[in-house]
Amino acid sequence: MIEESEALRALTDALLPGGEGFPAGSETGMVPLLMMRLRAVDGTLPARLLAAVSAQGPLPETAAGWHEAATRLEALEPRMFDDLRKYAYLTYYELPPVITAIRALGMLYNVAPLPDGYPTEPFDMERDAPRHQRGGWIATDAVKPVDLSHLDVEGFR
Amino acid sequence: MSKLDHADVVIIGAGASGAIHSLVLAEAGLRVVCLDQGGWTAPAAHPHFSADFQYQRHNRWSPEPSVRRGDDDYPVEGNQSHALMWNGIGGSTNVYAALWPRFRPSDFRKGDEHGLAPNWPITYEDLAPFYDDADRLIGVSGLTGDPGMPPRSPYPVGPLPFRSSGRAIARGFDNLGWHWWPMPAGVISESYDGRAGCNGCGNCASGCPRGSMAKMSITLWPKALDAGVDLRAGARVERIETGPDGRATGVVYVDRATRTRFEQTADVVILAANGVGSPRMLLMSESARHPNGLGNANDVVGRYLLHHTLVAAEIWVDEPINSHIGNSGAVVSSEFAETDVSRGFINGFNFNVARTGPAAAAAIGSFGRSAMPWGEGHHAWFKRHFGRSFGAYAIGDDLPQASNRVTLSKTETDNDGLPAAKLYYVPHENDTRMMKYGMERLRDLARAVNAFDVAVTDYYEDGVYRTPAWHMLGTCRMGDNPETSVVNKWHQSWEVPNLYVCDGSSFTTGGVVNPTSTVTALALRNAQHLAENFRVLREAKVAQA
Repeated sequence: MIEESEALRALTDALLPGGEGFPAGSETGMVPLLMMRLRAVDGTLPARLLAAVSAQGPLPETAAGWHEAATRLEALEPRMFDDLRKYAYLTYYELPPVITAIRALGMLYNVAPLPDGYPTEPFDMERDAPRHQRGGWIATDAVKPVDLSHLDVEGFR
Repeated sequence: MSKLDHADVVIIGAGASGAIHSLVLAEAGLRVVCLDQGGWTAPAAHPHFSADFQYQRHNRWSPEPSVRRGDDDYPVEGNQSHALMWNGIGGSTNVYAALWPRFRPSDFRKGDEHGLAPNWPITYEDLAPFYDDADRLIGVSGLTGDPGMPPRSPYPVGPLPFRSSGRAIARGFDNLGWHWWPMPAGVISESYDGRAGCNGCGNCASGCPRGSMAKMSITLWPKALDAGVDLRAGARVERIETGPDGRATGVVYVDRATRTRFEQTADVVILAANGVGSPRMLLMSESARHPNGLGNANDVVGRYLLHHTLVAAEIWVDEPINSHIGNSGAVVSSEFAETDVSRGFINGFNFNVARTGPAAAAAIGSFGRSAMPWGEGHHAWFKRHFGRSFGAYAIGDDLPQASNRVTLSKTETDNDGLPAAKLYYVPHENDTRMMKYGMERLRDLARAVNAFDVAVTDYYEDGVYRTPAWHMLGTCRMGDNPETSVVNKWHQSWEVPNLYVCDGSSFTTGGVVNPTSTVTALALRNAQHLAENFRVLREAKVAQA
């Protein structure tokens, strides 16, 4: 069990190593939550992840080694890797240190959509309404048979 | 089994159609019982108030019952479809996008146009007044004057905030010389009918607990209850019963809380359980008199399943457009909606152009195969891309094919032992051509906005087209020929004249738009017809063409 957790921590940091103002995955405290979510997908998923990495040889001891392990996992077990990545991203981007990092980019970003929502600026008819007169439609009485003879589609001939 | 007091009308399903039928028929003074296998979804139960709202979208708030696996649900088998479905009061309006464009006049006349799909038994003009009335009943936002659509009455409220995202998208269409218009939405831009206007929270994907987006448990059901509807939640209908005269006598259902079975008799049965649930119910109601399922002597029930064709692109632009803020739908374009055989296919498609959502949705890829890279480059990629994208869907009119269908599973059941639904869907060659063409136009759009990145997806997985168009249509289709349709132009079963089927399953063809606006217009038309003619229709012995 400890090995599963340690392997998941290392894989998380391989996926989300930190940088550009964003924390590494393990620094957010996401690993236990991710473990729980992976088990909700499939109770054996963390163990299978560990087994898939172990099958490559001794568990890596460096970040570069885990990056290599994740690369091979993506190639050899794409569905398992997709689950890992999907739930890692879903978990990472809900956590406070990451929300703080997103806000530091200069954008409004709420932890949860409600109750606050976002400032709204009403539709501005002068600025936002279409100016073009493009578009058309065929009235009921104007619908006419089209020529299918040039369409080389099975069932049309 | 307990027998309950006789009703004038029993309605199966409390979604958009069931709510409208219930309201109109109860206001007409009829005794209406509405049954839904699911329960109420309280506003606080939506994920919008939780930091894990994006995670919840992928399990308990997934639009797909087979992912959600809720007690209220039944499984939906099949790896070629994504079925958007919510079983509960309000139905799938608990978890839809509420994009509200209408069908076009030509959508009803495909039989005249090319004959590879039938005409609807009604025209756009038949339905237009009910579109208008349904919009007022529900609360729809939009901008009149669209030259790409027939004239219409004013929207109940003006268009939603366009935001920088809408303006960036519109510039692309202008650069191409293509039609575009602000997306009509079942989301109110200002207070309407006692509900608050949208506050741009950006999580339309999981419904709307504020009621700004039309969620029928908030929008309509309080009025229907005031009108006297007997609404029973957790009432799972097992079958529709018929009598010796071939008419429906009512339904048998299980109250899931007490495990008690009831028989609810009624003069008229209305089936409004969606494009999968309605054919499933008819097929489950087989009997010695109806060995192929109820209303299915012609073997049409469940066939002609339509999902819409769908291909999509996520398109990234340099300018920050805060694409995580605001309602999902931004722009609709009907530039390619009408048939033009010079394109190499018949029928057409619309563009639905949408905002792309919050950070995790962006990271895992909102539009298919555009998951952010992992590893050293992840954060730089995020900084460059997040808040700068929009999603464009080409949503097309797929050809109805008898082989695409809903059947009953032979192996899976719901938790009451009723058979799961099984879906089979393979697009027609014409549909495939339309999708390829749509993908090229999506690339045109990306170029027109000077996109620095684009990810186009055809939604093929391991060689299987697995459409996420979500819509489930056509499986109990309307028609004027009893041999090739399930119901007549008034949704009346050809075979069981006091049985009505009115929901997405009633569609004859799918059009190029999200279906709920048309579902509500059809429901309002049918409910008013029933209310005005109930004395005659309750005793109907035959369905007229």
